[in-house]
Amino acid sequence: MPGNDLTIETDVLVIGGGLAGCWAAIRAADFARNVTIMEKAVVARSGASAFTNSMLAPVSDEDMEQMVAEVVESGEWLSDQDWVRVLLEEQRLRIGDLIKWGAPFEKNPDGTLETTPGRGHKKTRLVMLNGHKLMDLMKQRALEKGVKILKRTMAMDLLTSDGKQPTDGSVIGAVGIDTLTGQFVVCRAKSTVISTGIIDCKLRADFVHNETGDGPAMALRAGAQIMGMEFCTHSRMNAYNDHYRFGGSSLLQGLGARFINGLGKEFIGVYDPELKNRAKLAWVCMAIAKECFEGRGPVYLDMTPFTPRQLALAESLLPSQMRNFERTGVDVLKQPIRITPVVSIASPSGQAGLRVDTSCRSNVPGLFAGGSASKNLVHGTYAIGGINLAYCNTSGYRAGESAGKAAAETKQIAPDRAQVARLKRAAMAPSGRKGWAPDEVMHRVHRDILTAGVIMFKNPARLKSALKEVRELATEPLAASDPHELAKVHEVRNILTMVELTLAASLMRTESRDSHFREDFPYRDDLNWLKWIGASVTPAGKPKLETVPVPYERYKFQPKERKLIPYPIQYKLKAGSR
Amino acid sequence: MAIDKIDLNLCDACAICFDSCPCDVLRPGKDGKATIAYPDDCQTCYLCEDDCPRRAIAVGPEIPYVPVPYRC
Repeated sequence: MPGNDLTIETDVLVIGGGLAGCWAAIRAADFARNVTIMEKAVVARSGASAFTNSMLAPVSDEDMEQMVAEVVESGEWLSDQDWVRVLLEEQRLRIGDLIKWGAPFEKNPDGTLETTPGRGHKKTRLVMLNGHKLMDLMKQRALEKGVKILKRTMAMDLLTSDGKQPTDGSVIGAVGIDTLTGQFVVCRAKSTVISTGIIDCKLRADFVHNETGDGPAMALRAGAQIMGMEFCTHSRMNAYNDHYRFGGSSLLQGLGARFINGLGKEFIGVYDPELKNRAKLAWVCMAIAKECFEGRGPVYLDMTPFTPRQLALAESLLPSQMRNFERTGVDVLKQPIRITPVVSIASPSGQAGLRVDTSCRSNVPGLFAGGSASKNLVHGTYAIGGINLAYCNTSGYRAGESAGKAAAETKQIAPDRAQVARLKRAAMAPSGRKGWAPDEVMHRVHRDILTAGVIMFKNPARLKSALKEVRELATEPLAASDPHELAKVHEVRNILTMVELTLAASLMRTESRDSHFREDFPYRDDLNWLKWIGASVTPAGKPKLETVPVPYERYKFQPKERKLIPYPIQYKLKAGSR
Repeated sequence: MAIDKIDLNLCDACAICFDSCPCDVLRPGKDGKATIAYPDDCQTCYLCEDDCPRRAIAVGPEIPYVPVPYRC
């Protein structure tokens, strides 16, 4: 193979420089001399973190037990209760750090933190701040701690001590490419943290076009277990016809936005009588689809009742989203906005990702994970708004601490030359050859494979058919004409892996819960399915799924009664349609 | 919506926008001034427009393409 590779050696390698990655790097630097962030785009301008707006408000000691109970119940009893406690206790400390560093939280006139309810909130609350400013602060803090940043470098695969994928040994760094020059990068590290954010699929929705499950996919290939893939079918909202998109709907729901159907009626309360317009996103999206399929569409998001303060908060905290309305001539105080669900694989709240313990260790030595690249076990399925960022704070900090401490006790291992050569050949193979352009593959996936009958209203026949199609598509050669497109080819390769596991896990979970609805099992089955599904690969590279028990024997909170609970939004597609 | 135009009279090739775009849409052209190299990857996030100190970049309401037939 040609030379001129960039070779780097670091104590701790952090893959992905969003909120969790910055926390990991900042904390790891307390224990390790050399900490490097490898970032596909640019730190502070990449992934979902720069577009966030709110996080879980600090919880007092007096309220702690009640809040743990609220989160566990809202998460449909699939939360790891150890993680819930860790998060609620440490979120107070991390908010304290952010305030000390000057984070621009919204404040009341008396100087206290302003709070608002968010999606799903009963007693819990959110605190708010602009994500651009938060990430500028995190980057500055990381640089002050001496963290090195490798920008526009896409990690491709993990290096292992035995040169094998999956490994029987440990992770010892990663390889990648410079997406501007195409240069191959080899980075050896004593500890590696995966913090590549959510799993999404290049739909230009929610400002996460470049979050493509790279971390979970490369970790899977290296032998790590990932969890929650059946819930990676979490629809989000988009303004109709792709005119504009808006992440941040949790905040808008919390501020008092209403959902109106084509008959001019509020309707979410039919499906979720308790939370109504503040219902969970998965159910809001499925309810919108059902209304439309049954002739009561289209559906609108109505912000016309907003007070001046609520509008000011929306404009300050969701600057990109609100500007889209303004640029297209929409006055949100005068007219509701037509919306549609985005039908795709997505884990916008860490529904799927690496399985980690409360110290953010994966099952592979040397490999750690934090943020939405790891399965967010605080949420269970999806509990309440604001946990996502709170989890980035807590898990990022913990992943950095574990990785930094481990690096201090580990020797650097030289990578296996044959493995480096093999990974380089695989990384570079699409350059200049004939094959599908990555955009063509994604069009095919979105248009033909991931339809509403596969993602929202699942049945086994459609899931099996989609699984066959995606497996066939994954064998087609992809081609890249330049380094920018080479990165996209590998993003698409990772997305196809995530789609395959999502469909396989959706077939395995024979019940309905959160975003996972099965036509043939239209109820939540607490008798048989209070368990997680883990995915890994066999030595031959084939996916392997298994159930993972939720350790209820050591949890304080237990479901009062284990029974079948009808799923709130049921819809059967016409036979033969997809 | 997507990135629409760059006013090359205002652009002074400061290169800040290349580090603004999460999707690597902008690249230096002649004289180092910004060009829209990969328009299909624009996610309409306004970071380039916000970060440009000379206000040379504008995001507009045009839709470059619709990748998905929305079903609702």
